[in-house]
Order: sequence, then C-alpha cells, then structure tokens
Amino acid sequence: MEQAVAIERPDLVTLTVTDWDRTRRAHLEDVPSSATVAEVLDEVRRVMELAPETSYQLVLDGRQLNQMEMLSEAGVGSGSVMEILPEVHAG
Amino acid sequence: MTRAGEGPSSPSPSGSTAMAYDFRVEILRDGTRLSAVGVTLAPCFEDVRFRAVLEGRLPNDGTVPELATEPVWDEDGPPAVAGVRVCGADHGESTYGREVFATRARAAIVELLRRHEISRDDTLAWRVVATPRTTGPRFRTRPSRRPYPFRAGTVPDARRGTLRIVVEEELVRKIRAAVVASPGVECAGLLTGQLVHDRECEAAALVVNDHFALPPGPGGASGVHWSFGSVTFAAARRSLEASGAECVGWFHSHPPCERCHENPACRADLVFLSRDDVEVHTAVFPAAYMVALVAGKVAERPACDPGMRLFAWSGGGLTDVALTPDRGTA
Repeated sequence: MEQAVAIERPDLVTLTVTDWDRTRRAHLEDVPSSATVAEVLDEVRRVMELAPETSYQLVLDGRQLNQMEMLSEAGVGSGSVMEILPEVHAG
Repeated sequence: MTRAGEGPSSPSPSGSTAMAYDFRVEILRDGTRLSAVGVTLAPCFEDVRFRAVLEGRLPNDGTVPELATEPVWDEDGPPAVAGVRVCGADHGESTYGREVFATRARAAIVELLRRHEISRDDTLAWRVVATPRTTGPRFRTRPSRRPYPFRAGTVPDARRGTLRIVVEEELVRKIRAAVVASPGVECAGLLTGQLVHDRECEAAALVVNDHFALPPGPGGASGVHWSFGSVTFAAARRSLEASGAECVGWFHSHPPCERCHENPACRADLVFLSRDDVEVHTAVFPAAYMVALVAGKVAERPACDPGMRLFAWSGGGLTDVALTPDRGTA
C-alpha cells in the first residue's frame, strides 16, 4: 500500500504577512529562503495594493527586518507571520 | 470624449486585483515633465468591493475578488487617461475620473515647491498616464481579508449602496476635551464604533461613538506633526483586543498657533486634511467605511474652543462630510 508523503523543501518557505490590525493578509508560498526581505516586501505591497508613495517595513515579533538581508539571515522561517507597517506621520 | 483601453486586464495568478497597467501622475510646466509619481488604485478597488458587499452582489466572507482595471483614455489618446474603469465578473463596474488622483497631484506639486524646483508664479498642469505593467508576481501569493464588521440592523430612509455616518455628540465632547488638554502639540487616536448593515435597503450606517488615545511613534509629536510607529500600532491593537471595540477610523488635532490664543477674534482655520493626513488615512485606514476626524482651530471659533471636520471615503477619494452629531449624514 502506497502512502503519499509530503516533502517539504527546506529552501522554500511559506509566509503570512498581515497589516497592523490583521484586516488584510497576504499568504506567500514557496518563497526561496534566499529571497531578500525587500523582495518579499515588494510582493506584499503589490498584492495588498499599497500606495507606492508610502514607505513600509516588515516586522517579525516586534523586530524591524533589514530589507537587504535574505529571509534566512533575517530569521524568517517557514510559517512566520510578519506585519507590514507604514512609515507615516500626520501633519 | 473618452474611449476605453484596448489592452485586456488579465486576472492575476495570485488571485488578487488584476492590474495590467501602472498609473502615474505627471506634473508638467510648459509641456515639460517635472515629476512623475506612482499612484494607487486601492481606494477605487475598495469602493467597488464595499458597494458590492452592501448590495449583496459579493459575499462578505473575506475573499478578495479579482478586479480588472482598464484605462479610459483621454481624448488625446494614450498614455494620458481621463479616468479608470474597475470591473469584476460578478460585482459590476465603476468608472472613476482622474479627479480621484488630484490629491496625489497636489502632493507632488507641494514636493516640487519644497525642493525649490518650481516657484509660486509657475503655471503647471498635471495629467495621469497609464502604461502596461511589465513585471508580474514574483512568488505564489494569495490575499485575504477580514469580512466587513457588519452588524445587522436598519438604516431608515437610506438609499441603496450608501453609507450614512453618525458621530455621537458625547464623543465630540470627549475629543474636544482631549484637544484642549493638548494645546501646543498634536494628539491622535482611534475612533471606534459600529457598522450597521441594512440588508433590506442594501445600505449601511457607521456609528462613531468612542475613541482611544494613542502614543506617537519614535518620531514623536509636535505642533505640526504626529508620527505613527510600531509602538503606536501595537498600542492600537492592544486597545482594540482588550475592549472588543471595532476601529472605524482615527482622529488627530491641528493645534492653534500662539497668536490664535492671544487673539480671540482670529479667523485662522487650521482644520483640514493635509497631504500627510491623506497618506496616513490611505495607508492605515483604507476600508471604505473608515473616517478621519480633524479637530482644532476653525475660523468661526476662538482657539480655546476647537472645531472639527469629518472626512470620509467617497467614490475612491476623500471628501469633507457634514459633521452632524446624532443625526448623521448620508
């Protein structure tokens, strides 16, 4: 009897990114762990339809991630849930 | 005279809003382009989705439907557009004129002024251009969203597809007191309340009835700014989770200058939505029902007695709506 076996590739990660109040979410699958934080940020901005003129940061467990780092370097593993937060001020 | 775009807007493989075009605002002087800035169509998409849910054409289950965009070309033809058409398979279509980009155009002009690249005497023009998007999704991505926080109820005499906004008078008093207590520095916070959905009328009412003050981020606050930071968002979430309240927008103040206090007859009016405020509202409070309340010195009141104005999403843009406590506005 054959059994299906799910093979998880360690070089690919699954991520979830939410906005500040958890209203909007982006689920990313099969993201290479060599991808940079900036690449993930760009993709999340696109899929969440965020304004191009506003700066955003990705935050994991309260820690702002360095956009130059690869996910593996930034400590982002499969199943990570990050926040995307805008850098804005009222005038 | 306008004509629809020729390029098809193919659905995105990610299941999100399809955008076959990128839209930019260009600022021109004597026909020469001085700057070009990207613009988001998110408020238009949100407008289409919210009305589709209100009118029962789209289930309120958190799925993000595929929407397509199509430029409505200007009479001079591509790449200039007179507007944009947003459409989806089962939830209708809406056309938005280029005026929905006016706020972004004003912000771009202010930025040119700030950089001294133009003078106040210059005659400028602005236009919106659409160009086919050349980059696709990089990863397999699926968006989702929380359903709109509707409570079933009735909205008497409501027109189909409309949102009535009601601000409770007690809340106005509380915010006025908070603003008076912070005379020289901006203060800000969340507005909370309920979103009532009348299924029979296919309309909604937003009842704004409470608030939370929030701490500014690392950029602090002054008489002319109030910064959002991760500490702000964390505090906001904690307050909402602890109270079970629903965030329906935000408020902040524009304090009077010292001369306003010295001169009770001062006619200065500082209550408006600045370009920074529009950026905050677009980034942090994008849902179609979310409002912005600005409090501070208005022309018809002395500095010690702040006035207020309310701003709400309407047709993909932000508009000043009459603040009529306990009666609301359609």
